[in-house]
Amino acid sequence: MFIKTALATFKRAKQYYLTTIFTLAITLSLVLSVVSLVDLVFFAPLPYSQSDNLYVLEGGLKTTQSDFSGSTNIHVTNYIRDNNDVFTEFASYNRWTDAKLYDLQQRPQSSVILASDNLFTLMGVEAELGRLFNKTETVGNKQPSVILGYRTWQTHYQGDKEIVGKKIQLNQRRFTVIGVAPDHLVLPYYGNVNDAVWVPLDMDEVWSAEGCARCYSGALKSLVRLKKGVSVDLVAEQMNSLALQGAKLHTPDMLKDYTPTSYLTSVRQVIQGDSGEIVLMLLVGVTLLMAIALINLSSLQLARAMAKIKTVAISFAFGASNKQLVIESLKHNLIVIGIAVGLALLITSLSFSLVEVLASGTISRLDSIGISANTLLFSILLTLGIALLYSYLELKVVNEQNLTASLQSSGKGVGKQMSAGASHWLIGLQVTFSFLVLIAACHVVLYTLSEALRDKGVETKNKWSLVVNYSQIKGEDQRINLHKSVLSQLEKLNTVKDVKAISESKFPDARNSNQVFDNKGNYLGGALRPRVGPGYFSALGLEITGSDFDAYDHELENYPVLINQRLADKISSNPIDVVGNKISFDNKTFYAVKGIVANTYFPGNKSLESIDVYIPAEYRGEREFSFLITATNDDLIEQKIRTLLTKIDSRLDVANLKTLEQQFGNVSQKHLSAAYIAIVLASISLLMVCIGINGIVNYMVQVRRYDLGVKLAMGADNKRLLKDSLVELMQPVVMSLVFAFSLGFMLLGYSKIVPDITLEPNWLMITAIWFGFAFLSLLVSFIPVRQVLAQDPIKALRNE
Amino acid sequence: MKNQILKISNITKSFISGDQNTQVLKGISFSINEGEFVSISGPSGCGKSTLLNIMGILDTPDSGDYMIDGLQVATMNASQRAKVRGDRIGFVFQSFNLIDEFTVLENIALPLKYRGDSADKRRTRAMECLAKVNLADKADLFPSQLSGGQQQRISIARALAGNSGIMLVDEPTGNLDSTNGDAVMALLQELNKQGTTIVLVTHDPRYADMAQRNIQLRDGQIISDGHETSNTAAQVEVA
Repeated sequence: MFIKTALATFKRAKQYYLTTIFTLAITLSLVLSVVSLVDLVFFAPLPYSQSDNLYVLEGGLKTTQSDFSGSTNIHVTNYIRDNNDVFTEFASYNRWTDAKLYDLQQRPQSSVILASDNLFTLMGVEAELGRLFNKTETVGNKQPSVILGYRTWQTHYQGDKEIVGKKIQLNQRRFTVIGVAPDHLVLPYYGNVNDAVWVPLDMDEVWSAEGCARCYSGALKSLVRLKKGVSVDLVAEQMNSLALQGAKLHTPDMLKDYTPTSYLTSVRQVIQGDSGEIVLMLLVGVTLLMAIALINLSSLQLARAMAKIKTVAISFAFGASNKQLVIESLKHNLIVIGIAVGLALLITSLSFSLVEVLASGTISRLDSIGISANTLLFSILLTLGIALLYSYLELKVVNEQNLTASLQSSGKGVGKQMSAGASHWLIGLQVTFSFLVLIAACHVVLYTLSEALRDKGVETKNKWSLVVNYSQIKGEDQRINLHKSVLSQLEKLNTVKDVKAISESKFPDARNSNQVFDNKGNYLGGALRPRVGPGYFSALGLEITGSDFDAYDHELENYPVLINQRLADKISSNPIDVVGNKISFDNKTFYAVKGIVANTYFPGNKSLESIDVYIPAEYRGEREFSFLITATNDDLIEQKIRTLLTKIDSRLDVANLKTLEQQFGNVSQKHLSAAYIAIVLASISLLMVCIGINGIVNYMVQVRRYDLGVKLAMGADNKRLLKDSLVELMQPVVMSLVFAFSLGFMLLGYSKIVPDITLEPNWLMITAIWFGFAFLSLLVSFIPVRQVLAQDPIKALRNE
Repeated sequence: MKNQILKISNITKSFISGDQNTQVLKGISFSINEGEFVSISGPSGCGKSTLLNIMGILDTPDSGDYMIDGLQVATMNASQRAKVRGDRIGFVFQSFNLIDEFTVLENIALPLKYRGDSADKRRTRAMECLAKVNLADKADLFPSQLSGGQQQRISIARALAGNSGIMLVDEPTGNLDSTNGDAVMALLQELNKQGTTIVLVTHDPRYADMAQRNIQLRDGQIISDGHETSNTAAQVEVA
């Protein structure tokens, strides 16, 4: 019986129910997705025990002009570990070069984390299978133990329960699997490490965080716990002092130019990063969207309440108390809203994989995102809140006068009409909010698309970037020979037109910065210093003002350099003053600038747009070297390159092989995704406001059919009625657009006095949107008015 | 001696419309005993429907007393008034006022639902009332599937369902043709014979005369209150 009544109720008001449920479901799914992100970023517990007393210890190198924060040396770190009196526990980890799983046929690549024996103990995590590192893996033990990350174990080893004790091969080295790490593990600065494999820190001279004894790098981090009662300020003081002492002992040369520092940051702060701000901004955006949806639906609800007043009146006449009426209304609305929220939760859970793709790199621990207890609680509260709002709206129109009047047989329907003021308010609110959302979304689209589609300055078509890893080859000479062989063999591949070598690709994993000074000793900045041969830049289509390197420039003791336009602009605006000028890396030895290379741009990541100094050099036996390959359109080129390298020497490893288009595409992908999301949000907002205005106008003209009929009877024609109705309906729209415009202007003015906020409005776009919005409102108002006039309002006079 | 079921003393009621204050009822007093069939008639605008609304506790008088089953309505709070409406009064409207989303049975059971009766009890009682109006086979249909006469009979069944002391009937034949109107009136007479107290508001003098007693209103005052009408035993013949 209940289902029959429910179906009958649904059939009588299909449009209302479908509009309400689907509008709410879509909007709430956006809200719930963001709430899930908020929960993940702010409330979800970290996968460590006692995470409130867990800090990341990092080093840094300061000069008078720059600050290389995050740079540390392993010996200095160990010195701090051994000489402090503020930590109860101290463990280190280091992101190493990626390695290939050679034991598997596809040789998939995996990130490698070097970890001290006590890292897992300090984190307070348990192994999923087997054990984690312990004293057996102490430095120098040379035990080739490996721990598989949870996802690595699931994806590449199919969750094999017998994996412990088996051997795997990382590059050329075999390791014994001692255990599987727990899922959802995250390391500060390295994010999700479920895809990694774990090797003991300083296992031996190859698998070592050292690099070079006196080198500083940003890869080594330490996790520490403070002793009870020790303040972070006290620790900071001691750390700087110990860093200096450690540097004096182990890296005294650095002290001439740098002051070493050391500092603590809470793990939660590091993991949260900037994501807190981003997530809160998203929350504000979707809340606004939800407000628009609720206002839209409130107008529908009010209209429906008017239509339902007779039913309420009948119930009232037959003994329903106010409490019973409220409960009945609430029950009905809870069911409707509950269905919408249920649908929203379903959409939300399906959208998490999309969220992971879009927000990866911006928000950490995304693999842990899900419908948490907090999100469920929020949805329940949301259901209750909206149901209460709807019930309030429904019963707001109920008073004895309205009820009694609606029970009488009356063609005009006394008391059934929503007041003009209420309907104008509803229209006004919807238009104001939607306009602001639309403006914001359009600016986001404009910015993100223009950024994503920005010219890169280089030719990317049919270009590949190959990074070869020589670390398995012992001996400099052997590496150099192999490198020459790689170069010549690559050039001989039939679809390869050209090969150029460079020490680091346009998208290196690590960006090592070097200080650059002009000929007067003024500091110009931290520059990349790739080593490259002649012809590299022309292969990329980059123009050179001045000259490219000659074939033998690399043999000169006082070799010339090439700089990019960004660096040239810092020296002088006139290229004539730059070419032939000199620069230095240490303010002692100076190098002449031979030419200025046009800038390369990285749409989507301006931080990559650095100043560059290019050194003429051939391969000297480095661990990795890069190649720029120009090839014809060949689907098999990737396979051919990989096969060739294996054929030359199976110890050669492809660290990276991608087209330049892919590499640039990866960088701009997030902006493109953001643009698409903004377009979707703007479209939803526009659609909802159109539905809302159409709904209110529809209702308003329907209940005024009688009035329209009277006017027709008095001699008005359809055209005149149409015009009068539209003029009346457009008044609140225009007024609220003016108000919204003023509000936007005010916000812009406010942003000018807040230094951290930079808003650059596009006035042409805003004006176009303003007029477009007004036109659209006119259109969605025109349709229902036209419809009612077509139904012959004079019939209303006859109660038809 | 029949019990007094309803007593109205010196009821006044006025409505404000713009600047004008119109007094619709100007001191109405009468009482109704259990089992009576009373008709209230008068020209349009004389206050009949207003009086019926006050009697049905759908409206409140400006002054005067109204007692139903010995209970003073003026001292009741909203919950008590709702209870009286559900338990002691059954209303029949000119425009039927059935709820379109409910089946016939659910419409009839409406007052019982608000009284808190169980689903089984409601169903049983609703079927009984439906049988009394000879529409037992229409239980699962919706109002839109019935004719006007049938809908009005359903409306009467609903008014009966609460075992109410008094049935207030407002122009039950206003939206019906004469055949259906006669049938409805015949039904009301039959119900009255079975003991239901009925107060009927009507324009039609023929139907007014079918009641045992006719109260005539004019300009908000009772101009006559006959305890017996000239056609006391008048019956309508149903074709």
